[in-house]
Amino acid sequence: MALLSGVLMIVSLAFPVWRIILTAPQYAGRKLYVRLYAYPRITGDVREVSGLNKYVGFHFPDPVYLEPNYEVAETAYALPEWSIGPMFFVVLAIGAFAISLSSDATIARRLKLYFAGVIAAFVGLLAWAQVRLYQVGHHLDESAPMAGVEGFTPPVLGGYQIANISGNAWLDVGGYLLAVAVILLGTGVVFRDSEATIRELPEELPRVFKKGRDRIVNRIATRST
Amino acid sequence: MVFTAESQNAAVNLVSAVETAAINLIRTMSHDQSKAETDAETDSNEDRFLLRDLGVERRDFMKAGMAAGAATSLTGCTGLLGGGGDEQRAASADYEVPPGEHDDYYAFLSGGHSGNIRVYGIPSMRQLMRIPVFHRDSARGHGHDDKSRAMLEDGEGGEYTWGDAHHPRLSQTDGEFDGRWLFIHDKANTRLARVNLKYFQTDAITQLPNAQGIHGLTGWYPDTELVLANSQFRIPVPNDGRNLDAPEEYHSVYTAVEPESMNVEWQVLVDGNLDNSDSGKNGRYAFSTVYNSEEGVTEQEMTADDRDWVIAFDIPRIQDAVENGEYEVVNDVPIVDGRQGSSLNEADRPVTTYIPVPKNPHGVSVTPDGKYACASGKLSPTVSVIDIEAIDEVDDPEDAIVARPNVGTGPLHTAYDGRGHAYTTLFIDSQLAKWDIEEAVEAELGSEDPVIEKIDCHYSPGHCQSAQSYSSEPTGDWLLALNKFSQDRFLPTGPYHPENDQLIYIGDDEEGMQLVKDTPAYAEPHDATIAHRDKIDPADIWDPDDYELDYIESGQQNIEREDGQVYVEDYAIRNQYGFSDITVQEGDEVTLHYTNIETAKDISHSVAIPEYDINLSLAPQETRKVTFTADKPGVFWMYCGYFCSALHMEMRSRLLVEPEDEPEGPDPF
Repeated sequence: MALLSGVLMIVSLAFPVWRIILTAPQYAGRKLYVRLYAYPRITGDVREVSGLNKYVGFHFPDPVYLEPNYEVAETAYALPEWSIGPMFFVVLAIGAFAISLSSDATIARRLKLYFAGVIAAFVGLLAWAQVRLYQVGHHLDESAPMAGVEGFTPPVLGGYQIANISGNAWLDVGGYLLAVAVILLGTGVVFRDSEATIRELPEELPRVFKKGRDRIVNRIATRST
Repeated sequence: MVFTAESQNAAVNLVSAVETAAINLIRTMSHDQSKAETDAETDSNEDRFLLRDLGVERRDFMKAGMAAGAATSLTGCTGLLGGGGDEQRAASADYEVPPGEHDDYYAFLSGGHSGNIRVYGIPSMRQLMRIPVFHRDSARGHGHDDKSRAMLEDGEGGEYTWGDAHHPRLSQTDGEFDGRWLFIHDKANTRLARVNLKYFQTDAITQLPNAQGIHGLTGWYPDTELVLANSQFRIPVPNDGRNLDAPEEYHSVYTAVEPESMNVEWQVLVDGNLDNSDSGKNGRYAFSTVYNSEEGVTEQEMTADDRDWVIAFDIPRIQDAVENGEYEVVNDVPIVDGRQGSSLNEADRPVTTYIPVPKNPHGVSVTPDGKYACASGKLSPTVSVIDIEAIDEVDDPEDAIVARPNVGTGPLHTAYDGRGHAYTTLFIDSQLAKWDIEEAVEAELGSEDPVIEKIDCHYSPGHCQSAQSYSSEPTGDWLLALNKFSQDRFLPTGPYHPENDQLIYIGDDEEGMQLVKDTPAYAEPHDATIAHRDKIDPADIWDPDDYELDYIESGQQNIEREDGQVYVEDYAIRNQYGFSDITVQEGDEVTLHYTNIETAKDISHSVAIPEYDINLSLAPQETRKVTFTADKPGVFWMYCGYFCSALHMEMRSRLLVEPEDEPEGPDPF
């Protein structure tokens, strides 16, 4: 499981991890896509969206160290960590590979620790991304043509509105691969001690849930006494 | 029908409407006051005028009285009385298209001497687009860029500024509209144009030699291997000054054009002059009505005889004749002799068969099943129904006529619903007659029995066209009556009145025809082709592979200068052109080659240059170029003519034309 998770983390680099869908009355019947990769690369309706961004002085960020596949505006907000984005996943993947090589004696504990670390890393990443989105959204170019647009905060996940444009941010293919990687790790942690094969998993699952529930119920019971 | 004050009012209106139509007819059609009948005296001067003239007008007058009587006696207005009108509107015809919803059909209407094509949605009758064809149009840049300018100016007679477009015909494959092309002819300057239906844009115009007054037009179906054009005016062939005043030496020709190359393949010389044309459905015959078999030059001479013809052109036989060298070449076109006395008509299989029909016939249209060709009699109140298969079997061509129903006065054109009914416009009666084709075949020649019902039109319909009637799959729900006069139907707009295109629901045989909409039309739709929206598949942005000019991407803008010639390659996008200014010398020949690099649909740009009379119009992904001489020094703001975005007003660049001689005098400010 850990090995597979690591592979998925590497593979996800080949796909956009995060996407925004924009709709607006002037694009009747059409959705504009902005797809971001783990490294400075944006695909989708890049030219169309940068045209829209220009009106309000919002620019795609400047990754500083790497040359992105789009034109960086002079006043773009610096986002240097985007340039080392892939390192984040590579390090996590190496951890996964290391664990899969661990001896049977240590693997269960290591896996748990690693899983906790991965969860923390991703929660941290999302939180950090949200902070950066706030900053980018509040760093509007003052020389932009359109007046009257206030700074805004696009959410990491979810919908938002800027001028007459509705945005919706969510995982893209790479993001889903990462999510699967995390789920696989979680499954590995839970079923580590089980003798069940994948085929038996459907029968095994209720038992695992029951076990977990019992444990929680017991804990609550213990606490209340 | 419940009798109400409203229907009474409607009946009164109807009476006055019919009177107006009749009076109008006299004003427009009556040329011979000497035949006036003086036996009818009434109180009204107008009525006296009405009855004094033609028998048909008296008939109209009587009908008006009958309609009024019918209304007061609560019998309604049905059957042969016609008397349709607005009060007959019924619920079964769903003609409302709410905002934001699409129509079921495209209707392509010719623009007559406006020279364009109008695209309507049916049943809403909203005008969706105009396609400029034979005239310059600044908004769409037709005649403003090098290519379309060459197309308009490439006529043999020099630079033409207008055209007279009558009969729009869609290309077909296997008898069905294939959405590829629309063909339209120019009666004024003897041309044939092709409209590309992927882009709704005129992409070729061909001059037709040896002909004048191109009128009827049809594809040779089922597969549009040729486009066939009638010439209405008889002229000397070649028309180079010979036989100037020898009308007996004038000729009319039937012209075949290959649709892909737009090359004139051959012509057939005929007797009389050709009027309208339609093709059979199986790749054998095409039909044209012929009037003026008298070959006269005055109205009196042209209407002297009671019989003219429908000519059946045996297209494969004509092609054989061309193959065998049986032609004369005039102006580089092989002309096959298809006159009655031609040696090519002595053989078993003549190139042309002359079928006698009464009298100065006008429209001819083939039934969707390909069985009959119906020629409307115009000056005879009948439609002659020709059994197409019988043409090969009969000794006397007249025997191929299997029916001749009396449908009413002034029958001009006939359309079909695919349920065995024909609909014929009655110009003089100002009505549309619905009749049963097989009943007409059963009935005696001249019988009125096959007529099922009539509906009033407002006023004097020329063509009528029902949905997909020109193809082998009519849908039988909607019909357009293209009326030549609107008279009192709309708010007055000065002495020029709009025409009136009326939408009539024909989908309910029990309920009868229902007039549902009046639509004012700028002069002057003659004919239409109606195609279901599934048959037409337009692109919403250009594919650069579909044009020859180089696509200029952002960053590729370039200016080359050589010997007084400046070639500018540039692009347009919201809200700028690549170059914010372009400097040239007075007297330079400047070519502007621009690409609209937008990928969003509906974002058109243009490059308009003040005082240089230029508007290079560019749809998304389109590239065009225009060449002009920069003969005026000064600053000229090149701006975008389309309101393309919030920064449209800011979208402009400067054309700086440096003066040849330094301007004299001090700056006044």
